[in-house]
Amino acid sequence: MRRLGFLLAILGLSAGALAQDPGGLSGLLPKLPEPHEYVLKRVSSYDRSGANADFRRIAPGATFTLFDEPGPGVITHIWITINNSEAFHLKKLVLRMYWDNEATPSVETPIGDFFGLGLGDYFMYQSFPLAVGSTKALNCFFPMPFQKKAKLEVSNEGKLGVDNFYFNIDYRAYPKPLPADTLYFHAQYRQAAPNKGWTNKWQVNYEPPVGNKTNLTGQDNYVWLEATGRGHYVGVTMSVLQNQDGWWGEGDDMFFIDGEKLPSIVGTGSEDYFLGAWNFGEQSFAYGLFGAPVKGEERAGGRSSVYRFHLDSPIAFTKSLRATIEHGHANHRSDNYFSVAYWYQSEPHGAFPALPPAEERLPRLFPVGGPGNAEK
Amino acid sequence: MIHSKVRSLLLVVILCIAPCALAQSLDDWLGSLAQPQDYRLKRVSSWDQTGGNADRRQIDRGQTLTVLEEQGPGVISHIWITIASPENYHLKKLVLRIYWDGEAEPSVEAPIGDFFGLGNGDYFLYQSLPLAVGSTKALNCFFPMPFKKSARVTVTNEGSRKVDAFYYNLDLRVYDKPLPPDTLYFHAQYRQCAPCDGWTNDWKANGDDKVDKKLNLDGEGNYVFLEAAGRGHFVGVTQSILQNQDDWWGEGDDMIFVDGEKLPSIVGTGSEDYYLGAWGFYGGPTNYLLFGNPVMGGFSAGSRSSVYRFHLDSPIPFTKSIRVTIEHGHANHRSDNFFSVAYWYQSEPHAKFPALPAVETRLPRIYPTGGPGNAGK
Repeated sequence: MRRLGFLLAILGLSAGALAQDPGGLSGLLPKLPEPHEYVLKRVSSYDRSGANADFRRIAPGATFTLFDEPGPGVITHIWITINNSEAFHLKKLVLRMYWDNEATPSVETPIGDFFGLGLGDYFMYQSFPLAVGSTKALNCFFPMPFQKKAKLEVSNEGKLGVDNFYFNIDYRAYPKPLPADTLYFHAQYRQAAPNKGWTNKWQVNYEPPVGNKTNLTGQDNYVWLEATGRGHYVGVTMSVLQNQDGWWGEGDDMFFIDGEKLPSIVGTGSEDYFLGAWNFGEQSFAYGLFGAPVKGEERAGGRSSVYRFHLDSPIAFTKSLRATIEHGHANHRSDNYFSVAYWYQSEPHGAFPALPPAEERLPRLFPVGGPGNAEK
Repeated sequence: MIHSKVRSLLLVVILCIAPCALAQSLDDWLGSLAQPQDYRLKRVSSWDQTGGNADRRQIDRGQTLTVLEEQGPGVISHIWITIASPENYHLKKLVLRIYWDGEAEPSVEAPIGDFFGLGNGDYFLYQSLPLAVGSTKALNCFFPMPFKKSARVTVTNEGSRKVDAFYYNLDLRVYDKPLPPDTLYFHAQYRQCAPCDGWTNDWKANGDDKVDKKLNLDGEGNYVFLEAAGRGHFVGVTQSILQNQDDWWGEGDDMIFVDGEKLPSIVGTGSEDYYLGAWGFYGGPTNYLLFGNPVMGGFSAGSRSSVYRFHLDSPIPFTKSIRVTIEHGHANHRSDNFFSVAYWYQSEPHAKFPALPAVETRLPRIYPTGGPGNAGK
């Protein structure tokens, strides 16, 4: 029972259980009155001399190790802010995380994309797991457990040095191993720049030939994530730079669980997957679980950033998961998508697609043809 | 020894199913992410099953659409709906009903707008923890809704025009093991007073001596949010107000009667205080995770307000019954219109709901109640 208590305490299972227990403590923040077994540590860029140079520099081409600590532990919060004169440094700096001495990282994304800023621009928003504070303050609250060791790196793939890289990372150091079935945090970057629409001979999203096209198998969908192992998908941040006029979000989400040929989870439209509706109207919004903090114009050049976190019910898989979304109805549109999928799973993880080179990650318009686009 | 191991394993299973299924605090949401899940996530959606783009249903007038019909054990963890209808006040005319485990009478019965906190029939954006309306007209609910044998969700169009497009996505957890036997069921009940029956219309201001000196200790004549019988807990209310009279609508105190009390054991200090604001919400509209006044009317006849409170910090438990009420004005002197949905969890069977008011009487209308700002009949 000691072990059970420990497990419950670590993983936050106790909340519901205690809430059911007439003798237990409960409330909105039910674990606060419970004692903790961990030591809270912080890994920070503070000035070791006691002076005010509380930052690091990262030279062009350099890889900087932010965090390199033995387990067992759980990173509970990451705060980073960057001063860099390089344009699009949010797309050029790459964040990687390695758990338990693995050879390939469990997290690999441009640093801006990781925090939901997929077009390389800063904006402020709040969700439960990710938030950007005033100003340019990048925060992440996803819990990240590790048994033996955790290593976090940032690589500068830009041309200029990063003048000031500030960070504070909070983690729990435990005296005993974490439960053996504890899952590891993962995040994977993908992009389509541009998506390859099946036609550019169209005028309006809804009209033929677009409206008549069907897509049941998810063929050529934009892929957020392909994972193998046991775990659950917890959400995605996505940014869109439109190459064509009209609404970018006619595409439906489709999830293939454990090798399904046809998706068992299918939605009704992109803004619907992100839990808004009707093209998000004209109004941006940022909620705890979902939002469209940047809502661009519905024409070529329009820029939008959206997110959804399935914290209410992560999508569980026991062998594999393929998370996808159409780009336009049945994949007729050729806009640019940049996304990061977040999930937990047992190691080892499947191979990630190769990270596109820095120049290819930058938001650019492409001559794809179609409405609002002159082609080559 | 083996016996005790089996027992603690069982305990793990039981403890695990309940909190995983019903986890709803932020603590649970983030805190349990690194723990494996043992459910299958299923989506029930209006997506076009041909693969085309007609990802919606239509609902003829008078028709009932079955949105979800599933076998348990399971937990609906999220509902998303959006509606395109040319009909005025379709949020008041479409009725949402939810049935658990084959019951004859629904555990949820409310106009669809009221269920999502939009009690005056107009759309607005707001975010709370269990309910949120996203941009634009996107209705979201995160109350966990467990069921053992079956769940059925229906929407009935009581309007006079067809709903052109009714889109929905419902996420549910499907378990291969039973839920704990004492799992409670989600309930939601609509009530209204249109208008509330003030004991006088011969007053000038809320603070008149005549009004102020009136006493109300037993809650007689109070507006009722909920009457329930069984074992469970009350988790909150969304309320909308259309004022028939001038001045501040919210002088009324909340009074909650637990397990048959003659006098309420829980009594508050004013309506905006119950909704965790203060001073007539002078500071303006808010929408917070547990409480808010996302629509802030003025202080005159015709003003419209919407407010909510969720007791997620400590739901109000009852073992036999609960009666949740609030005064309409001090000691019930005002005659505004109230529309409310109470949310609670309880064991089945639930007590009979009051009959749903006829569609025309649910629409926000001004009534000739007399009193300040109202000419009377």
